[in-house]
Amino acid sequence: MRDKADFVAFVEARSPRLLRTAYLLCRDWTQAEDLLQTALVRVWRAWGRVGEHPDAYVSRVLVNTHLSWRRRLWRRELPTDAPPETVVPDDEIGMTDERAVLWAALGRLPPRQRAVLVLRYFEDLPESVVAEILNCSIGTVKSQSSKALAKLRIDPEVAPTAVASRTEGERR
Amino acid sequence: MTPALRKLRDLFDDMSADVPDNHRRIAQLERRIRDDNRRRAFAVTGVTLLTAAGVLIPAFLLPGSAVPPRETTTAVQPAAELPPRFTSGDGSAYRRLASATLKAKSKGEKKASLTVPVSGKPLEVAALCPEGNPADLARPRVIVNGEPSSNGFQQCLTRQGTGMVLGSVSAPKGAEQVTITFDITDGGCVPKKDEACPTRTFLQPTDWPLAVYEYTPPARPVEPDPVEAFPARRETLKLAGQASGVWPRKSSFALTVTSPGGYFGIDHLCTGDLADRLSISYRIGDEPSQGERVCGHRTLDDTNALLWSEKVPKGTKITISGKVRMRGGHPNRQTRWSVGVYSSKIVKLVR
Repeated sequence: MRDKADFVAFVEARSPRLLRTAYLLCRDWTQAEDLLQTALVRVWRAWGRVGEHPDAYVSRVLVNTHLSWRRRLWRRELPTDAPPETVVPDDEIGMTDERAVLWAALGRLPPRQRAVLVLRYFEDLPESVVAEILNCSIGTVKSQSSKALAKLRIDPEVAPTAVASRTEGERR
Repeated sequence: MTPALRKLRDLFDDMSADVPDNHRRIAQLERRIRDDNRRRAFAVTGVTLLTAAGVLIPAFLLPGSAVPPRETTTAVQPAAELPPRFTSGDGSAYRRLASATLKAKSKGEKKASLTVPVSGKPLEVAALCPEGNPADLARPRVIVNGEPSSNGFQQCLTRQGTGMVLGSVSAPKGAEQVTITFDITDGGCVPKKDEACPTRTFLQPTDWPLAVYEYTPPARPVEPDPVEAFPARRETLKLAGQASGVWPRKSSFALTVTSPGGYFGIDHLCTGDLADRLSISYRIGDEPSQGERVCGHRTLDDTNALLWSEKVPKGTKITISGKVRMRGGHPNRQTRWSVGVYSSKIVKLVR
């Protein structure tokens, strides 16, 4: 039976990583902390039933909490009239600009597609685990991931740099 | 790994690297858990006391009472049990035909069936959303005379707390009775063509109070409440156009807007008792339809996330159109819908 000491130890050990995941989902540190704590409260309610490896369960609660917020609330990145950051003078290969536009393009993905990318390429989770977390089939994970990557590649702002690096091997 | 995926992975790593330190997280969590326990205890006690005092139940049980239309729906009214009779906000008089509890947790049951007579009045299925995170629970799917219904009590997923949710089912033409089966096998999944249901080992079985109702709709069309106006600006978004109507009198719209050089975001609001059964499918310019989005949210504080367009060059005129669809429903149970289109020029870069 897992107890409070287990829970506290888990929170202390895993919070920094979970907070990073939360940030990549909602793109705001304050919201990320709120999202993490909301998810952990829900996890605590089920802590006695969570097995010896709670990571997948916690990820699922975190992602589902985020998606339910997205359905309910006006919580998203704020568009602005301000121009995007410009390339810094010493950025000879335009890397900063490329990353900035890729980050912006990620922000425009539907939340579920962004979640797939975060779980696959930040959390390094296999498709089967992502499917379980998102309560969908592996085929859906594959298609969502593929659509998301396709959107990033075809985004006109990303195209000149990020898309150029695409190889034939990536087209599937 | 391909270069593009490596870039994505590096970007995720770098953008989330500056993790703010929060030494008070454990203390904050303990306070949240205490507050959560207190809130949940209060909610249970409150419902019990109100029920015991006869405050709550009579409001639902008065048969055919003339309750004036108001901006709540049957889908979000709190309920301690599935009542034998109640009157919805728009005056529809519901009568329970049969009820059962699918005891998935206490007895390991997977299915429960109810056979009810068909009088010609609209039929609806009802469930009490159980305690706990609905995303963790296996929800029953609904099967009518062996045919899957689109209803799966999805409203339990998109709302806080517990309570009664209702959904339409249709009886086959000419049927004198119909058998409705509630099935939680595979977590309530209805497999798509050529695709197996996902493994959902994490879903918890729970007991579901269920019922089948028929209702007598209001004799005359009930005018839904006005929809809250869309603000001209939201943060840095500008309202570029809006359309509205009342289902079933109006079920489509088309708006032409001019791009300031950026993106369009679409939002919608609805009022009426069946608001959360109304969905709108959007088409933005030449893009294919974005799928249906349910219009169950009623205030701007409780809205769907925006549906975003692709980037539209400055000065380009683009037509945004939508088709409104009601699941089940009745012409006298009208639903008001309103669509707002916002424009944004550039998405802010966080870093």
